Amino acid sequence: MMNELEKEFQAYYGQFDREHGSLRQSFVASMAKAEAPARVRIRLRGWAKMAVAAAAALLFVIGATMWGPSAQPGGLNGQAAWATVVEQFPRINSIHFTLETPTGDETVQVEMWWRRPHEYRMELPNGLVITSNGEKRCQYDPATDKMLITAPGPGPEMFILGELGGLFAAESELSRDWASQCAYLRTEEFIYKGAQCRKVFCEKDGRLYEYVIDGRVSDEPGGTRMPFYEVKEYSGVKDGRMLSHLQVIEVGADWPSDLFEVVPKPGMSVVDRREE
Amino acid sequence: MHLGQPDARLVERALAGDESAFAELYDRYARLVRAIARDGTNDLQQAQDLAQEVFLRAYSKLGELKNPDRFGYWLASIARNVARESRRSRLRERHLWLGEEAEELVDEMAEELRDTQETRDRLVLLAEAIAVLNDKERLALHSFYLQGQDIEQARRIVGVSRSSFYRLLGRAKERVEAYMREREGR
Repeated sequence: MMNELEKEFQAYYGQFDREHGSLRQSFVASMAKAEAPARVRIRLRGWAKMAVAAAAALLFVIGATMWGPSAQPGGLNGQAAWATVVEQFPRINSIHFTLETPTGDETVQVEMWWRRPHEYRMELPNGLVITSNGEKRCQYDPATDKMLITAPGPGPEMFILGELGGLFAAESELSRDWASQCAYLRTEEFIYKGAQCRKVFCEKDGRLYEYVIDGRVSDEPGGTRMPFYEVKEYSGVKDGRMLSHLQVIEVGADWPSDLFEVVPKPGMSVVDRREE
Repeated sequence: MHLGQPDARLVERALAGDESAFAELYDRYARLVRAIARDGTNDLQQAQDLAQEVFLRAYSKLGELKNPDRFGYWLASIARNVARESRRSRLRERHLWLGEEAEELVDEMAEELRDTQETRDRLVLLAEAIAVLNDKERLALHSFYLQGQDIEQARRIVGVSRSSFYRLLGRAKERVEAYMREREGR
């Protein structure tokens, strides 16, 4: 069955090669008439330049203090590096990530887009989509073609994220408190996707957290550097099973607003419970 | 002609005014973008038109791309948005996609396979099976088959890890096979 299916996949996808030559020619002609793209540069005004310089100086002082000679085994001040990373959370305006949660023999994967202060989109298995944009929360199930509208704000789906999700929504003070409550265990240096990174292992409430971080201080406006690349949560410090695996895809991206709502289509069953 | 340059290098050249560099990106990703656009319409020609629109949009916004290494992922996001916009207005007609226009297209595809009646029906069924997958699963299939079955390239377009991509692709194929088996009454 599978060999036959593979041939059919090849035949199906072969259709997208059709007329490529003429389509390419047409596109190149359109491109020549279009306005050439220009690199977008962020130009800071005088006062903003001073503010960035002051912030960078402050961060340098903090970094020099925290990253100075360490009493930690191995000579790496991982907890300080992690704390500096957590400081960056409130500066991130948007984040796109996947979260995998093993459940028995399967792994459930959720994909999420989150934009401050209150917009998010979550895509769950089987096509279920949940969005919230400050005006309404939409929950759409393609299997039944039904949409439920409720008051805006996090719903039961946020339990999927657990404490990790709370870090993005929490104010900076809470984020720092969370980091300070983590017991630093150890740090390992390793190469991650071709770049020098660190794995920082922390324990909180009996669970082990394994972070892959860059840890470089960033003064990019809008926060486009990922605070961490991946986080794995284990049920215990030793030989615990993995509870969740969060992978950051992108931060600071600019998404259209319609990403955070489900627009009703003709024929879709819509139940609006905002007034209830 | 600069063959085999990384996407990031082609993006830089395009931003510097080299249109041939963006044309090369078009060659690399046009088929994928058409497949994604096809998810939002029941017509191959319209999918081709939507794909052209996606590339023009990407060309005009190229300077906003923060990480040129992720051009494929970024382009696929634009294509998915365009397909989503198109699908919202056409979802009600989705069942029509299995009608005359799909039959016409399948006639041509099947002819290339020196078709039998059985083959023609199965290609329509395959198209239907792909249509009912969720966005991520569909994108995994499109990326895999239209990027030369290069797992690394495909998973970067989908934006997931290698292991997640394998699971996603496996699940997509299983669902397609199960759907076809169920519809054929096997």
